[in-house]
Amino acid sequence: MSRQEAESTGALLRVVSDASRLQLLSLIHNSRDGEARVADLARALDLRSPTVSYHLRMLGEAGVVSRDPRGRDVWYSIVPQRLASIADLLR
Amino acid sequence: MGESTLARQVAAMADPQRLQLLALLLTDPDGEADTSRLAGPGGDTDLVRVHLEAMAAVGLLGRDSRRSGPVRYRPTHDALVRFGSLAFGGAGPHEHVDRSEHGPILERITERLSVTFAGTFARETVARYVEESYSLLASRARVRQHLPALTSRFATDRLTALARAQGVSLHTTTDVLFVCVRNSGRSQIAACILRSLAGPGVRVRTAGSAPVARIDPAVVAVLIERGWEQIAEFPKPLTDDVVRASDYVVTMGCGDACPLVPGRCYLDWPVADPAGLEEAEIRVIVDEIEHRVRLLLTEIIP
Repeated sequence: MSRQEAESTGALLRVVSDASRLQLLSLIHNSRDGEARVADLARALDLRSPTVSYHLRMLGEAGVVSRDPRGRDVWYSIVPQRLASIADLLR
Repeated sequence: MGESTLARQVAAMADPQRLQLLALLLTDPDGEADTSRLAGPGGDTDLVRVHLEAMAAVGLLGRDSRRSGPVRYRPTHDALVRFGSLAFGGAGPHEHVDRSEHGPILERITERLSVTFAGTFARETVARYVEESYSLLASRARVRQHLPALTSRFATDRLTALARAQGVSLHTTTDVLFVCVRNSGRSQIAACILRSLAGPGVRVRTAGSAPVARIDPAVVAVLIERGWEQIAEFPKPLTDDVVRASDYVVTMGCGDACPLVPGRCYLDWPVADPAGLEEAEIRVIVDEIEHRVRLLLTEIIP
């Protein structure tokens, strides 16, 4: 792999290398239709909603999760191009 | 899966140099390397060792110091499964790789691994892993020459690791293939007896160079009379793949038709064909095959 690829993959892993973020990714990945809302995730992990929102924003900036506002809710899912890598990581 | 172990592994790999080192190890023809080979000529071996030890500390590399000489590092199953594709593909989506050059070889690798992992993974899963492993490796032009062999090894390692990760037990079985002409008499007798005598550590298959539609009923009658009742087969053609998936290949009356694959143990048993014989004569053949199977078993399981 090129130095540039290694840098960007390294940056991605730095954002993901956090127990809470890995748990969030695992929950999203294993949820129905691969989508989840902040409130569901906060309840499942016993975290405060702002904490979950913060982690999701960081994961969003790293291009790992995307947000999809539908009606009153915002649904988070793993970016399709990252799905295979994240699924591998969570094995 | 321990979340904290995973977090520590991810943190350890969040380093461009370590990702590059893992990619180098995964494409090494030996599957393992020491620090000086990884550092390259004039490279900083101490720095490389620090990185490798950090990866080993979180269970991503194993050390092999059995032999004399420098310590060699080998990626663990966790490294293969969790970081294998990341270490190759980078963070971005995989670019399209032209596989036409090696298309037929990839087909054969898929066929062979489908047999190896039969009962554990569907053929589609195997095909996907072979394809993906090839794409990952092909993006490194340096290894082009060894691509098929590396693809085969990498896909095998990843599938084995995946099976372990999923808790699927991959028995380290000995595969025995019995081949006769019609796959309706001698090979079926031998398979039936070996299945009854051997434990789950032996996997038995049969094939015929010119298979007929069904097993000879007179043979079935004698086998049942002897209490060898594990006849659940139908005559099948002999293919390269089934030979390749076998450790022992026993031919009876069809040695010429059997493809030779290096590394397999070939035995040729001169046993008469029971087709059209009386039951008394078939009993003699069954006795002879039983004697040979028992001898074979002592060789397989010392």
